[in-house]
Amino acid sequence: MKTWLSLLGGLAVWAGHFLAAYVIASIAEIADPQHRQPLMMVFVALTIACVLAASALALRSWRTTRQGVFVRRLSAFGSAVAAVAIVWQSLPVYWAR
Amino acid sequence: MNGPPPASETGFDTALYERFPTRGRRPKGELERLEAIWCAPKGWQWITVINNNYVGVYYVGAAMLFFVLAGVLALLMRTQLALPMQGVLAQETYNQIFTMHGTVMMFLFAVPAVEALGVLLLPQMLGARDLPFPRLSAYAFWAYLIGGLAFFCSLFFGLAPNGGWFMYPPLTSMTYSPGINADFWLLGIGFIEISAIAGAIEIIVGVLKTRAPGMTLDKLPVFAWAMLVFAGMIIIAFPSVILATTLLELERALGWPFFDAARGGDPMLWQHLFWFFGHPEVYIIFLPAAGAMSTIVPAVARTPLVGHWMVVLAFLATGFISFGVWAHHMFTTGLPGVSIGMFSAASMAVSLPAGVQVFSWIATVASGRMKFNAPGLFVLGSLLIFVMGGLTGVMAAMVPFDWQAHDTYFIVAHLHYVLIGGMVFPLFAAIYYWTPMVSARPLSERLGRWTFWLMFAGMHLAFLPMHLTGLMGMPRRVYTYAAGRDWEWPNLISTLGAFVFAAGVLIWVIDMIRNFRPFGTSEAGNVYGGGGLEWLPAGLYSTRSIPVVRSLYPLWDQKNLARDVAAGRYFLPGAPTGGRETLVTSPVNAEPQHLLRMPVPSGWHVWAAVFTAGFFLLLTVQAYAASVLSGVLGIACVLRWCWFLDHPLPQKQVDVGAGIELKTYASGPSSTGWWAMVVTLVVGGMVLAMSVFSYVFLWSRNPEAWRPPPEVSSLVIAAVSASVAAVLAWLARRALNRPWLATAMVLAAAGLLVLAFGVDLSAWRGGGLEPHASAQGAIVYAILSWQGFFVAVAAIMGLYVLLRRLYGYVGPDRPATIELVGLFLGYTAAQALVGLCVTRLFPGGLS
Repeated sequence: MKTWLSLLGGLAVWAGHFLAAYVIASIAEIADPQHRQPLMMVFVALTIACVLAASALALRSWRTTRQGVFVRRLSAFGSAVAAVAIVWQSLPVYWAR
Repeated sequence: MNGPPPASETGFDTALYERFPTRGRRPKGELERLEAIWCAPKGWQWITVINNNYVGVYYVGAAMLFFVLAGVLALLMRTQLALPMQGVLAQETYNQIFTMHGTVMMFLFAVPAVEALGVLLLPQMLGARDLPFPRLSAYAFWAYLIGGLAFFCSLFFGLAPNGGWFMYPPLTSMTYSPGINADFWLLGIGFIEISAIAGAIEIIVGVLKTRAPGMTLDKLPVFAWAMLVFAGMIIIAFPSVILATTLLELERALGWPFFDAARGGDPMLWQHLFWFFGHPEVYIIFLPAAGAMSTIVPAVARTPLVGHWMVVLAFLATGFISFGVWAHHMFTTGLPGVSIGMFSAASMAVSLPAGVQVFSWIATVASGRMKFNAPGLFVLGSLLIFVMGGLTGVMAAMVPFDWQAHDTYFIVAHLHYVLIGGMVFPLFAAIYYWTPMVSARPLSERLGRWTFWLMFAGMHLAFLPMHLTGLMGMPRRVYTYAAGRDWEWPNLISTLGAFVFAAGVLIWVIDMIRNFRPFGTSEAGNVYGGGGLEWLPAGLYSTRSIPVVRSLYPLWDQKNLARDVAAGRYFLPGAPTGGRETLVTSPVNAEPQHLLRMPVPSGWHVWAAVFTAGFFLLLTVQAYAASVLSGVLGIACVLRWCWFLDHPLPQKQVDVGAGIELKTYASGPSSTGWWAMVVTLVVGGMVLAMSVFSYVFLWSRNPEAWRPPPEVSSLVIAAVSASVAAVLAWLARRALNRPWLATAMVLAAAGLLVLAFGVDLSAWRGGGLEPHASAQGAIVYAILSWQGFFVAVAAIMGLYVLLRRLYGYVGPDRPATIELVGLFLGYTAAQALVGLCVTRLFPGGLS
C-alpha cells in the first residue's frame, strides 16, 4: 500500500486541490460579495499547502532507498509535475477573483 | 537514483527464483493431464465456456460487430447529408440513427472493445493461466452481448432513443420525449455499464494479483499498465453515469423532479453527472489503445520503448487530470467565470501527458528500424490522426473559440479525429499485430495495406472538410440543410470519404473471413517479433509453465525462455491440485503468495446474464411483474454461482515447482476475492459521492425552498443501529471459531441495517416530504433508495451466510465468505451514516 501511496500521492494532492478549488469557486458564486475575499485567502493558503505537500512528496520519493528506481522515479516526477500543475490550475482562480 | 534492491513485499525469498529453469525431465503424462483439465469445449460448452482464449475472442468479435453496425448507421447519415434537402431518411428516423450511432460506438464498441482486448491478452501477457474471475468475464460478455443486441434492435421497431448520445434533459424528459425510446437508452446503458464495471474489476485484480513471479512494476507490460489505469478510471467514472441514468429514469417513470426546473430541479445537474463520466470516457478509450501502441511500436521498430517510465507516468497523470475537465463540455451553459478558467486550464494541461506518449512513440520509431507492415502502418496513421485531433482539442479548450465552435461540425470533426486516431487505428493495429497469437493464420499483409490506406484516406476525406462546414456555421445533428450556404461540397466530400472508409473496413472483414482461424491446436506465432510473454508457446492452459520474469521484454532478453517454459521448467508445470489453477502474486513485486483454484465451466453465469438482461429490458417495456421475476431468477443464479466458491481443498499446501510450496487457500488482502470486494465497494462509494454532489448542487439552486429534516430522535436511532451493525460485521470475522456466533452476528448486523433504513425512511415519510413534489424530496429519496438497495443485498447476504452455516460451510477453515460479507456490511453501515449526516445535517444542522 505504501508503494501505491507513494506512486499516486502527488497526483492525489493535485486532485484534492482541484476538488477544493471547484468547491471554493462554487461557494464564491453563491456567497455574499463580502465573503469572497476570505474565500480567496483560504484558496491561496490551500494552494500553498498543496504545492508544499507535493514538493515534499517529490523530495521524499527522490531520496528514499526503500523502493526500486522505477517506483522512485515515477513517484518523484509525478509529485513534481503535480506541484507545477497545482500552480497552473490556481492561476485562473486567482486572476478571475 | 541508485540504491539497494527493494525489500521483499511478502517475506518470500526471491533468491528461490534462481532455482529456475529447473533441470531434468518432467514426469510422464503431466502435460496430458494439463491439457485434459483445460480441454476445449464441446456442444453447449461453447456457450458456457469461461476460458479467456474463447471469451476474449467472442468479446472482441461482438465489439467489432457493433463497430460495423454503427458504421452502417453512419453511412445512412452521410447519404442523407450528401446533398441539401435530401429525403433519404425522415427527420425522426435520422434522430434515432445519429443517437444510436454515437451510443453504439461509445458504449457498445469502444469501451467493450478495449476491455475485450484486455480479457483476451492480459492472461498471456501476465503469465497467468487465466484472469482470476473467468466466470465474471464471461458473465460480463453475455450481459453485454444480450443487452447490446436487444438495445440495437430497438431501431427496427422505431423505439430507438432519439435525444443524442448524451441525452440532455429537458429534451429527454417525459414532456418532450414521451414513449419508451429514451427509456431504452437509460435502462440499456445502465445495464451495459454494469457489464463494463464487472470487466474492470476483473482487470484490476488480474493485473495486480496474477502476474508471473518477478514481474515487478518496472517489468509490468506497458499494455497492462494502461489497462490498470483504464479499469481504475471505469471504477471512478462509470458510477456517475449509472447515477445519472437512474435519476433521469426515476424522473421519467415516477415524476421525481431532479432535472425539472419548475419543481426545483436543474437540467444542468445531468450535464455535470454525464460529463464527469463522459470526458474521462474519452481517455478510458484512449489509454488501452495507447498501451497497445506502446507495445506494438517497439515490436515493429525492433527497439525498446523510449521513455518507458515516462509513458507510464503519463498514463497515471492522464487518469487523474481527465477527471478535471468535464465542464469543458459546458462552457456555453453560463458557468461562473472562475470555473470556466479552471476547466480551461485543466483541458490544456491534459494534452501534456498525451504529448509525452506521442513523443515517446516518435522517438522509438526514429531510434529503431521501422517495418512498414500492416500494424506499423496503422500505428503511424494513428499518430498523425491523433495529433491532428489533439491540436483541435487544444483549440476547443480555449473558451472564446469554444463559444464559436460549440455544437457545430467542427466539434464532430475534432471528436472523430481523436477517437479514430486515438482508438480505432490503434485497435486495428492491435488486431493485425495480435491475430497470429490466437489464429492459425495471420491476416493478409496485402489486404491489410489496402485496409489501411482506404481507411486512412477515407477518414481524412470524411472529417477534414467537417472542420470547414463547422466553421462555416453548420450545426451538428441537423437532418438536412438548405442549399446556397456553401456547405454542399464539403458535405458531399465527407460522404464520399465515409464510403471510402467503409470500403477499407469491408476489406478487413473479407480478410478476417479468409484468414482468421481461432480455437485451433496451433497458432501462427510471433510474426512481428514481439518481446512480451504473450508470444510464448501456449495452449488452452496459457503457457505450459509460468516463467520468472527478469526483463520488460523477456522474450528479447531472457535466453531460451520459450524453450524452457514449453518444457515445464518454471512455476506450475502441471496441475498439483488436479484442477484449473493459477499463481496469485503480490501487487507490487509479484512475489508468489498462494495457488488459486480456478472455476470450471457451468451455465450459471450465462443464465445470470440472461435474467439480468431480462430484468432491464422488461422494465423498459413496463412489464413490471415479469421484470421482478427475472431479477429474482438472476439473483438466484448469482447465488448458485457463488455457492461453488470458498471451498478449501484437501491439499493445504502444494509444490508449485522446484520444491517451492504454496498454500491453496487464502483470505484477506492476499486473496483475489478481497480485492474484488474492495473495488466493488469503491463503485458504491462513488455513486454515493456523486449523490451527495447532486444533493448539494440541487440545494444550491434553490436553498430557500428546502425544508428542515425530521426530528432528531430518528436520526439517533438510525445512526446507533448502523454503528452497531458495523461493529458486529467487524467482530463476526473474529468469532469464526464459533461458527453459529459468527453467523448470528452477520444476521444481526443485516437486521440492524434494515432497522436503520426503516427508521430513516419512516421519519422522512412522517415529515411529509414527497419525492415527486420537490427536488429535495427527489434527491433525499434517491439517496434512501440507493441505501435501500444495499440493505436488500445485505439482507440476502445474511440469509446466504445462514444457508452456508446450515450446510456446514462457515468455519475457521474458510473465513473468506464471512470476511467479504463483513466488508460489505461494514460499508453499508458507513454509507448509511454518510447519508444520514448529509440529509439530516445539511443544510441547517439539527434545527
